[in-house]
Amino acid sequence: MARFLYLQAQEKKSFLTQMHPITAMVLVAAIVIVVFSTLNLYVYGALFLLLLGAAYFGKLPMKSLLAVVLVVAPLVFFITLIQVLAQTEDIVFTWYVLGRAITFSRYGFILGLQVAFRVILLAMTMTIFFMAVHPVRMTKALYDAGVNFKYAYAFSLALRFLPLVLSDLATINNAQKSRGYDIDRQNFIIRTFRLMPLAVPLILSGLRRAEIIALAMDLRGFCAYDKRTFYVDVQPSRWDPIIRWGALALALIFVAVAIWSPAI
Amino acid sequence: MAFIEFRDVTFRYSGAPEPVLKGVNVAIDEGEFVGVFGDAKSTFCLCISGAIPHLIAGEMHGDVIVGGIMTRESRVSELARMVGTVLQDPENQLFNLSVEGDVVFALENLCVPREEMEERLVEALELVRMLPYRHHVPTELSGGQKQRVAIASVLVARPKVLVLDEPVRELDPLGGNEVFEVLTRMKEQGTTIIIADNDPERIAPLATKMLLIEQGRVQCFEEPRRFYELVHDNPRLRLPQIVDLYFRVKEPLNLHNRVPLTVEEGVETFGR
Amino acid sequence: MKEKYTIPLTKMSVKDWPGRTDSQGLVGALMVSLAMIGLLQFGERLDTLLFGGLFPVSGRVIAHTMIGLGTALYGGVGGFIVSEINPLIATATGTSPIAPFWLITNGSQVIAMLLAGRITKDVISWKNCILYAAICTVFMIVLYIPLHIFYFHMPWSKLIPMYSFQAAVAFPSASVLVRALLQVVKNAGFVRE
Repeated sequence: MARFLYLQAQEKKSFLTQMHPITAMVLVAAIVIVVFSTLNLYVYGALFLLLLGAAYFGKLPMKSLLAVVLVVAPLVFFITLIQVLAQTEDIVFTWYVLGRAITFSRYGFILGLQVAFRVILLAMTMTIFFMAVHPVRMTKALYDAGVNFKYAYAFSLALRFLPLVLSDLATINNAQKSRGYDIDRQNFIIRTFRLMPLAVPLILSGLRRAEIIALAMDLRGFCAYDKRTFYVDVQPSRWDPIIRWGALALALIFVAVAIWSPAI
Repeated sequence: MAFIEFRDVTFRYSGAPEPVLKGVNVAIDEGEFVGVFGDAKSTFCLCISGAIPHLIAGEMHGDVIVGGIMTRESRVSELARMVGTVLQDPENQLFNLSVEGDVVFALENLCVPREEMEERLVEALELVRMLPYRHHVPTELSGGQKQRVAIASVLVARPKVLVLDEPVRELDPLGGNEVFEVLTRMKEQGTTIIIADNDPERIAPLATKMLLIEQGRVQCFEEPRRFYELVHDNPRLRLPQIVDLYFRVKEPLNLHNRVPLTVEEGVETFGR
Repeated sequence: MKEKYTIPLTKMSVKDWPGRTDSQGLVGALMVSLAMIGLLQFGERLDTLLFGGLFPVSGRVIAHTMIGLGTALYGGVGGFIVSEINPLIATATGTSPIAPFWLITNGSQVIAMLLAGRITKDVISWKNCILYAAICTVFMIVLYIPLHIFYFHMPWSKLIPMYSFQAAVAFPSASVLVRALLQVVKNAGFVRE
């Protein structure tokens, strides 16, 4: 399991890691709007370079960022392959298998690359967001924005206990192996559907743990009052409203241009 | 008037056929260090913190009064300012992504002003000797360190009472020693401490009173030496090794000294 | 003295929305979500082999099962915690970059369980679990296919057979697994009636 992205980035302070979380969310939203409003490879290329530049100057770990791109590689391959085989425009090659024609489309290839690039850009955007924004700062920002603290806190709580649950799963897997149930030795199809001996103890131990955690939280006054104070201080700067509105405005202008201009 | 009082407390867990506490009457003064042994130890502790009856399903009769406040009529959050509760497993008591996040958690919930938090955070971490680890992720700590952070996370609210439910059960001996060093310091500061445990070895030398609950009823509630004189032959009670040795040789050696609670006292007792 | 936090599970009532919103509801739902993340690792290889994760068969079965379980145990809000935390964590740990797509698809499964519960009034029953799986299948066709077309520009003629295969596997598996897990959780004493 990859080490939490924000942990890898937190050692170095930069304009990205110090950015107000809501501003970061708005920037992500703006990028997502632009990405979905076009399939132009030049626009995607420019966005790609912009994201790389932001990550580099924002002192984010570039290796981890590029590793995420590699994770998407199989998906990218299949998206392109499906488009090549499925599209019927601009056929460059036809192959007959058992009397059935399998066509390879140049239009499909380009469309596949465009969609694949879109997936990569979205993956990079979300990865940069989670690297740059510390969960605690995000919780505070969401609370300030009016989100109930319980739900704003949920993500941070999940990150805290994920390693524990995965460790429990490994322990359960080993315990079941010692009883002769070795799921790791099965092929990956059987493995998928014979999870009950792992799922049951994992869920039950999780629910037991949940009772204790909830009790401990309540004994420390969790959500006892409607309001709460915070140790961490996250305040928007004078630039934040400008960046937020500017980003949204640019995104909407781009959408308008994309609708009116066939080139984009 | 006692600081903590149980007045004829009976409690039955939801779905259980029998109450686990039956007519318990106990009075604990401020500043005392009480070890709780036997059955229903956790239930006893949870009654003091207000988890029973507010958070745990069941049927409760009688009253528990802490610092003049009746637990049944107050909120758990109000009691949290006065009673700090530490549970068995430290892993399930640290919910945040850093040690300092865990320690200030209670302060944030209780709406303590931000300006006060830093001072209290440092004070609590220094008490448990974990200040150098304030920026660490909890998963990087040992069991003893985690439990010390859990203790700090309740001490930060400056409670008058510290309730610990088998705090060293999940820890190795070194971790256990670390926790008891903290408790020794807390005792010296005058905090009322209630600790439920099965291992009396470390508790007996520190305790001012020891409580034995069996089959839901109080069997004995005395200062440690008198406690062991009365219940040393109870087969369900584990004795400190030195106490066990004392009672084994008391008659053959015709000893009339007071019951030793530590090895040093034992040397003095047997040396004579 | 009135007993606290007894949620009648076998009879879905108005408590299904918002459901259990206390600390235990929140943390319990989180644990179910984290268990889901752990279990998804086992089927990762199969899903990657099948079109690079575009049509996750194992992921679909596990998601249907765990989201259904979480919603049945904790109601609507708990169900949404189970369904939405998973994609966020997957993105935050960099293990599944198309996870944001699941924010919508997972959420629909919560609605499926709430609907099934409203109709059958008995969450642990076979009838409820089969109905839940059926509604999920309908959502897959009605909701996922348009999302797939919008997100990945996939041709709909190719999506239908692929989703049909997913549905053929997920429908029976999820209904059996949800029922089995609910029964286990009930027998373990986590449900108070």
